[in-house]
Amino acid sequence: MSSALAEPCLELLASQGFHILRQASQWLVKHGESHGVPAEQFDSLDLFLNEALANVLDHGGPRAIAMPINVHFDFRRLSPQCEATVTVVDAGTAFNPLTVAPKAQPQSLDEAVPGGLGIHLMRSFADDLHYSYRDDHNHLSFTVRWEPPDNHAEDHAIQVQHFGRKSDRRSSNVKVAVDRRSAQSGRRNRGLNWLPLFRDADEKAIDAFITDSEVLLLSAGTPLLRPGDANKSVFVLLSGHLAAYLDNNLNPENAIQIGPGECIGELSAIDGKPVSALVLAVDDVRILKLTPEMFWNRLLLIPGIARNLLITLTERMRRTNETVLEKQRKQLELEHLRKELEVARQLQASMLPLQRPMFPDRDDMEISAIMEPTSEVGGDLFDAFFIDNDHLFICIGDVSGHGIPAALFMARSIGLMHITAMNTMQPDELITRLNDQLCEGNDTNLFVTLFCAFLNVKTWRLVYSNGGHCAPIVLSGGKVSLLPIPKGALVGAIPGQAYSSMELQLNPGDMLVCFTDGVTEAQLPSGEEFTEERLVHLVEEMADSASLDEMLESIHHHVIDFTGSDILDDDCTLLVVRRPAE
Amino acid sequence: MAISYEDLNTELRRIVLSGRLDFQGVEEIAEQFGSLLSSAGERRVIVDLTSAVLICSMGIRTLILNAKAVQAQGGSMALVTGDSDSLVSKTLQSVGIDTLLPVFTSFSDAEKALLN
Repeated sequence: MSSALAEPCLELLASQGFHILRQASQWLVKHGESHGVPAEQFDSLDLFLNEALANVLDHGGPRAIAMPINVHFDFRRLSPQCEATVTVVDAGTAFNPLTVAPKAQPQSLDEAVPGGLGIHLMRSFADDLHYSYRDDHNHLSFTVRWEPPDNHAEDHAIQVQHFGRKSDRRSSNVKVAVDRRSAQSGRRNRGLNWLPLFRDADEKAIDAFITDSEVLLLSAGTPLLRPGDANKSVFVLLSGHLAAYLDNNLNPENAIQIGPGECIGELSAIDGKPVSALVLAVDDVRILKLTPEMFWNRLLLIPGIARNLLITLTERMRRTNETVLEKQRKQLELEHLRKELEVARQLQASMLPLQRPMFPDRDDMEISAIMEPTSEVGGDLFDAFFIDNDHLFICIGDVSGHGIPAALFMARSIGLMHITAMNTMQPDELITRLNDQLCEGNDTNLFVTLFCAFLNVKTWRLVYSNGGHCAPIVLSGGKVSLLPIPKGALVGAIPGQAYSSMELQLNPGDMLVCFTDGVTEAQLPSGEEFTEERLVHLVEEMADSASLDEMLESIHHHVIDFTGSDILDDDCTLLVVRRPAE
Repeated sequence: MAISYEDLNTELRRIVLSGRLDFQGVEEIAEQFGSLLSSAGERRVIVDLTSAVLICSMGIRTLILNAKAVQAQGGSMALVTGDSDSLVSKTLQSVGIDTLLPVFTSFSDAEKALLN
């Protein structure tokens, strides 16, 4: 026999980024605990949820970001086993992970190509993994099963006892827990006047009224009321805590907390409309249930009760208003932060020579660059400026991390580089100085990979140095290859590092293509990367392009087409310099 | 997610990753982890995962990429996972990480292996 229980749903906004993964995990903890999912099976569900949501964020495309992601939790008791299923529903690009060929295990670190591990982990830990695409949505379900330690374990059904008795006479099928706390507690002994609803009311009248009322015992996670339920009873919380949720967001911060003594269900009991909130037991709770007959015909006739009820309702209204206002305030703060991020993006863009053509007054050389940040503010950088009429300084780099910290580090790097480049035309000396300057007070442990060079545009001699950045591609005499680069550590990580330089003669028609790893490491969902080989091949194909701008746009489109996503995983930057053909 | 380190002597650095190495956790520690590996210099590195409670694919990717970087610089890096039944151990086993770099269940075993 199978008994399906409630199927809670969580709505997530992908626009909030990876923050939603923790949000989802917290939500899962609540449902895992309330249904007694064992640690091993819970861990598997948790891991799946992480991987599945990250896949949606990384590869779902614009529709996945624009539309809510829904997560369902379903618990079933299938004698003799229990099973729990988490389903992720997203509106992103249709993608069936079950069609991805299993990843061959590499035999050495050299062979290891990280990527595509998420699907492998889902397969490894699932008792059942199911995918379907319907109603324009991906539905990915992950199921785990286990033998409950005690097949007679108590269900999350509500247990009932009568306030003045120790057993439930109405039904022998309902397991009754004797509520010893009610008989022993100080509160019980001194009557029910501590309840705000009964405050200052005649004790004898209350005792007489309460004798036959029911006390509901709910274990943690059990719903008392669900949205849409018809309800005519009023409930008074005697012990424990309840949480009311006005929407599908089951995050604790979205809950209206209900403590001992407070009333529940009074609104639907008064106006007869369906229940509007989901009310869940946070811990084990005891609740006094007042039927409509008791409430309307007996309780409200006791002097003082109607006033107490109005006070309770007013307090609840005020608290609800505060919760709603707090949510509105947070929303406004979020919008404000988004505007500030947009300003930061504009400021960052203004630091880089993104204009085309970059040097409109120079016809003795060609240079162009493109940068596509993944987040609103990225970590890639490049620069190009003339030190004097003959010497051009160029650089390209990638700051570790993304977002505001990386952008600030990038701005600091650019500023220091500008100053240093005006004082030395030795690229190795420039990087050495920059490294020491960036290491000073670098509490965030950020660093930057950097390739920089000084180009004499009269002689076309290029002197360059490198700090942990990938080697540029050079087209020389019609042949394309990776530029040999001097060894040099990441910049800003370790003070006192020494850097060296190398030189290259560029002949008419020769070209230097600098790039960041966001280009070559752009990935397919399977983990396959764009690679330097593809980029070298593209440069070969486009070596004779009349326009460097068009060439860079074309490379960028090739990368986008390769990944199948308009949004790349990493910032993508290219900088090209070409000596005009004679 | 927390990261800490200890230079046990001139030959050995221990980097402890504790908590959830989920996507957010990896983001939180990735830069510092890379820096601590880069700045280990000549020291061999033991990455201690005994206090980590979950590791996602991005966490594994970070370990592999950094192990490659350490190897490329002539260094060596090993993992300590603690209890072989833990989620982290089972996750790493499932991707065969022990074929890529040395994995130990106890720190003392890792220390002995790396210093010999």
